[in-house]
Amino acid sequence: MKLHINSISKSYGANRALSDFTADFEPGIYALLGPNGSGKTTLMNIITDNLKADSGTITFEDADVPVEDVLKMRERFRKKLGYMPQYPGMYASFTVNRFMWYIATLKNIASDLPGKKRRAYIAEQVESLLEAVELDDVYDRRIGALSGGMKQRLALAQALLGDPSVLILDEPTAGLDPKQRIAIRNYISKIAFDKIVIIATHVVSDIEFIARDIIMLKKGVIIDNAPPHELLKKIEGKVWSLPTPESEVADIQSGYRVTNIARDETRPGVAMLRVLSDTAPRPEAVPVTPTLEDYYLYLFEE
Amino acid sequence: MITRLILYELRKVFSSSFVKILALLLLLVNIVLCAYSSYTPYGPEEYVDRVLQIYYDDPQYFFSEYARLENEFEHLDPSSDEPSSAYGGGVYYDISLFDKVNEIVCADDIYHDKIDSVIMQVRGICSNYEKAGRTDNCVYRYNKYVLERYTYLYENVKLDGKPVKGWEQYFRYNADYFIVFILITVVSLRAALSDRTSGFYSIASTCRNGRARTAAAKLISALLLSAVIVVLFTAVTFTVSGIAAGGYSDFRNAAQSVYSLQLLPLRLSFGGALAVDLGLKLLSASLYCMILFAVIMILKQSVLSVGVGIGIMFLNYVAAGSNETAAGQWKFLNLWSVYYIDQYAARYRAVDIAGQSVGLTAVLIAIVVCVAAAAFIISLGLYAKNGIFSGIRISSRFTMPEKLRSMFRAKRRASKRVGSNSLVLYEIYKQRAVYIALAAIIVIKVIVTSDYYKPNNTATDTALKSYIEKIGGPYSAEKAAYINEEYEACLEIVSQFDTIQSDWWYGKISDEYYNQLFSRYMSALTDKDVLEYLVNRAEYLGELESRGIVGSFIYDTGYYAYMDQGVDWLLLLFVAVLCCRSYLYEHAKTQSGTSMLMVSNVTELGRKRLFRCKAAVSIMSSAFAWYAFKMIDLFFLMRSYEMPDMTSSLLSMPRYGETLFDLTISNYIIVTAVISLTGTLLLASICFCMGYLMRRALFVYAAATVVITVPYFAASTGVKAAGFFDLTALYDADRLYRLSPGAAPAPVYGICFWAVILFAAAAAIILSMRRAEGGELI
Repeated sequence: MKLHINSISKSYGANRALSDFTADFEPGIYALLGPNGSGKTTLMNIITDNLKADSGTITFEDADVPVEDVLKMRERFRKKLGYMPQYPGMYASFTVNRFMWYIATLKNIASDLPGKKRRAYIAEQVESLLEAVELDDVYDRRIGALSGGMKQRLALAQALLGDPSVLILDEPTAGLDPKQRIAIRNYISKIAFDKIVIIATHVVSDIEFIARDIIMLKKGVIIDNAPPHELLKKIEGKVWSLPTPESEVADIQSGYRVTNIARDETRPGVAMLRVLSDTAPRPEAVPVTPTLEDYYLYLFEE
Repeated sequence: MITRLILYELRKVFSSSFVKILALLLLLVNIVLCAYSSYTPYGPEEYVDRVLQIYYDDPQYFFSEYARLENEFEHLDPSSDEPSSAYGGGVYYDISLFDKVNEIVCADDIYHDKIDSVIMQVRGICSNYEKAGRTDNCVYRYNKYVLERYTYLYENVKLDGKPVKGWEQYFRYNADYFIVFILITVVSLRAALSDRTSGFYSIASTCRNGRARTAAAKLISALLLSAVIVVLFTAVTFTVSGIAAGGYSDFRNAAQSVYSLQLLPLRLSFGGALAVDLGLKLLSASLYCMILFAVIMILKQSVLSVGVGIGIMFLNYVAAGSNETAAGQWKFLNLWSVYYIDQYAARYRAVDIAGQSVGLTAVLIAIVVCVAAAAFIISLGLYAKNGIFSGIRISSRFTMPEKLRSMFRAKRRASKRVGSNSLVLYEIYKQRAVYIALAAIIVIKVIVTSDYYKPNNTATDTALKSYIEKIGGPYSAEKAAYINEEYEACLEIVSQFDTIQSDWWYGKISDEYYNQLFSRYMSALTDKDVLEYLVNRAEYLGELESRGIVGSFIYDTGYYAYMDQGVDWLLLLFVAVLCCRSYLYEHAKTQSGTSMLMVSNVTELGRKRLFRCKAAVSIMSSAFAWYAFKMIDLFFLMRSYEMPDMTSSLLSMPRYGETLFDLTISNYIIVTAVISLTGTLLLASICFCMGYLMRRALFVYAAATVVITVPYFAASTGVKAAGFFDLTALYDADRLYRLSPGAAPAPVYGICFWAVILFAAAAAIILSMRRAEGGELI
């Protein structure tokens, strides 16, 4: 199975939202990482055909489908698609269960099965998904009465209905507490082995351990595209830990990119600075293992 | 500081492209309507000017010629002669032209005669009250004031005897009320709710000037904008009326030169009347703006507020047409009457308050002050989160309290969590609030219809029924002769009554005999009107027979009641709301989020199938509602009236005499029902597509209101071209079918009309379907 995006461009007036975006996707998790306005949501909307690209093509192939333009595939491609937009506007008056059944109807799930069997199949899918996202005890609660985190999990559950081959998730962990984020992250990782999962996020910790490839987007342009470990290699020896007297912290900040300031209680008056720099900012600086967050800041912080 | 806040509020309103586009559209609509209302391409002005020149050249010759024409007209045999048209070029009768010129040159005399008759009448009333020693009541005080005022006008107002140009058209134009008020509604909504809808309110309310001062600034900015709108639209109306009429006559002439302002209780020139007219418009618009603003603050919801605003507009319009005998001068204290000087100030108006005659203007000012105070208190109080009032939360969903829901929840957990696979059922579920509203609307419809179809048990109608029982059926010369004989006999009884009464006075006949004759006389009085009606009908049917068409004598009271009930606004309201809301439900989005349509767009059935399903539900629901409304109409109609023989020719009724098709009454009812149903479904289609294409609730409901109401009101004020866009004419198909004077013959008019409406509906449907298939939502 392969999703091939070839030279997709999109402009909103004078603003170039996406510029010649090209990438291949195979089963696994892919992260689109970039600041606000980098083109992540635009790309997602183009893949899901909620937005028309100015130029470029998107093709899909799998065991059932030879290479074909997704726009020509239409319903056949949408049958394989699961989409979770950022903060989706779900029907506030629907209960959780009713909403899932509605999405199942729209997705035409198990349409080849006869009536009773189809309903049983859908019921099982809905129940298992709600359990997976920990919403099974609120299945008859109105969506309007759910918390933000619950709505987010429900949005994920509806995207997973029908076992789609291609999963497009826009900020899937926004609004979730740490425990829920880990749970969702692990769940996505578990199901992604036979799916193409594209996650747009600017929360690095969501994807740094599960993504096979990370695409760094800046102002609509790909500035890097590699697995996490390769990205980290690029800033090896460029991340430093620097103990600094409090009075000198401002000086360091004005000269270098400081990504973290920690206070060491065992050493009053001294702050531990995490500094991004090609060379040691001071002799006492010690190189540390870089993280993906460091790389993100290295690329995007001016 | 408050000035600066007001400027910021004004900027927020002007930043809305919707407001700007709507303002432009409504301005264009006003220009078109005003132009059509004022422009009379085939008017008699050219011929009137020629006859007027005759007067200027030789007034004596004019009057002698006028006298000759009057004499000629008096001795005319209407069956064979036609009035002369030497001065009218064969287009207009000379007597009409001379009448018109006489009105112009003798305007001052005519005016003073009219005022004199008012003074005489009022003087008589005052004299009666003085003789009776009852000078301490409202009626006396009112008439005394009228006497003083109109005596002053009699002595001081002078009309110059020159043709009035332009002013008649300007003061006559009254189609801008709804246009202006719709725009004020949108502007007030934007001013009041912009912070709440954008989410900025939660930030502003933590600022020092973010509550009461901001609320005051919002209200003031809404009032300022309302004033600007009124001035702009009035200026445009004045300009367009002037251009259409070919300019204005001298603005210094007395306003009483215009017929509708003849009894104006103020000594004003045209310029002064224009200023007063503008002042009244500003007053009415400001009042509406303040009331609406307070309503918006209470409801905090745009769609409901628009509904209330439209309701206020309509109620005031309807109130202006209420019975003056019942409501008295109070009926002119409504927004519509106050908006037009020729309504509000057509004569001196006052009301009885505690026995005192209080001028309507004083009452109006008091109302304005009270409303302004209330609006400010409510707005300031409700806008602040923890203000005087905590605000009334109106939820668009009517939900059970959680405690009650949890009682049911335990039971439901035991059952299987099985849902439905039917998109149709989900669509019905989404619209359940509207279907519940339909039930309420049907209840209202039953009440209104039962009142409308109250049995007509008047003596006249009873007499008509009894005659039709005797002569009902196909026309024949014998029946016509019978009716004529009855009529002659009736007239004889009526004419003899004076003699009979005189004989009784002088004791020539006994009381008993007199009572018998008196009873016959009273019966004859009733029968006289009925028989005159039937004689005219017999003549008409006789003419039909000479054209080879067999008409019938029929009892048509019930039929007219059915056909004349006009547009069913309740049905149109339901259809418009249901169909507009179908896709608006999907387009609704969270403040920073996406709409549900973006999710369903990515599913297999979420585009074409969903579109078709929604369209089908909307159309079927509209058809069901139409059917329910028709059944209610027919139920109450059949209960209260006898219907005519359905196999009779439609042409038996004179109102259809000029139509081209000879249908039976039953066939015609079927035809109009089919047209009415089709019209309802076309309206449903157009509203459905608007909801899909335009996405934002305010846009959609505003557009639907304009599309449905503006052509209707424009057409009813005489703008014939508006009739081509009047969707309500399809529902009121009888109006569409009948020939109206000056219009093209019914089939041509109908075909053109249908072409326009069908094209619009088809274009909307095709465009929507293509967009739904294409799926682009951004």
